[in-house]
Amino acid sequence: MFMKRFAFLISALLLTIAGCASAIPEFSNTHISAVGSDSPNEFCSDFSLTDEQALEFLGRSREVEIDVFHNDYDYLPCYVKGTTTRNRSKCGFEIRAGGTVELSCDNGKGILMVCDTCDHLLGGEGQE
Amino acid sequence: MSKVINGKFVDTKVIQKIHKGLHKGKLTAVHAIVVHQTGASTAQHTFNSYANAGNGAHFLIDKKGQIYQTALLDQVTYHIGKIRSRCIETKACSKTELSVANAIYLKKGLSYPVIVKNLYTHEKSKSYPDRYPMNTDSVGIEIVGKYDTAKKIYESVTANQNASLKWLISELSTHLSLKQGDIYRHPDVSYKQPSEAATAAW
Repeated sequence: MFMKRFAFLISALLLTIAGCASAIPEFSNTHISAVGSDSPNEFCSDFSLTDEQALEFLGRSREVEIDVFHNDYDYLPCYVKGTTTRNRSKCGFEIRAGGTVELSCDNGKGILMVCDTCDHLLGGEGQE
Repeated sequence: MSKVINGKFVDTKVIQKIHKGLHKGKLTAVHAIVVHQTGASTAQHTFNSYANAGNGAHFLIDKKGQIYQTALLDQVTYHIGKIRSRCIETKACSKTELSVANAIYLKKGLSYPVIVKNLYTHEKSKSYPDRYPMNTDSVGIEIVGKYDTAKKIYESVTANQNASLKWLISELSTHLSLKQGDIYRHPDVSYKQPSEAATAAW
């Protein structure tokens, strides 16, 4: 009986810890520092994101290998650059209008990410 | 002098490593060659991905300059992606074409990925060289070269790789009756990182 209660308490404790961990957002402290284009022209004139939109974009994105990043997504000239905190690491980010993100974090690691549910943040109308 | 027999490029400098999974239909005309970099540091990484995925080119040049044929020359492979508008990029659109292209390119209310897709659909209706080459009328050459995710740049093509590339392009140009202007770097044709194949020379 004691063992059953003990196991129950441990399970409850672990579930609580897991719940707290998942409640911590992957990205935070997200700020835009630059909006621009590799080759300034009218094409990119409408592309910009607020801090909140950049945070949403990052939150919706998934990490991918170079093959997927390169083959399946377009690397468009329009970008927003800024800083964010990812899992307690400070990172610079570069979100591009084709739905790609490149993160450079303070551990020296570069991370490639893509977003498949961000059309509404990339100039499309309406919310996902 | 090399030979092309039933899609196979025959020469002692080329190792056959055909991946049938890359073949996407009959390639009836070749108007151009497109030069790529793999993004990975070894040829084996690319061979592994060819065994599992549908994207790839006709040739691969490893770090030492060894050339592999990875797809037959009479087969389409998926190596380009959505092409840019050639006349917009080169500022050579006629007045009418510019009006049509801009209506797609600068359309409000659509996401950028959708605009790029619509422009690609429009470009597909043109003939080469009014448009950039596509999968259906080009041969692709991959050069093994890592993409540095921290520095955001592809590594430089080695001297051995460039020597092999130059020879291969020369041979292919003869077989396929291509001119120097028919050879492109991948980012010139579609929306890719500008450093890809930037140091390739032929």
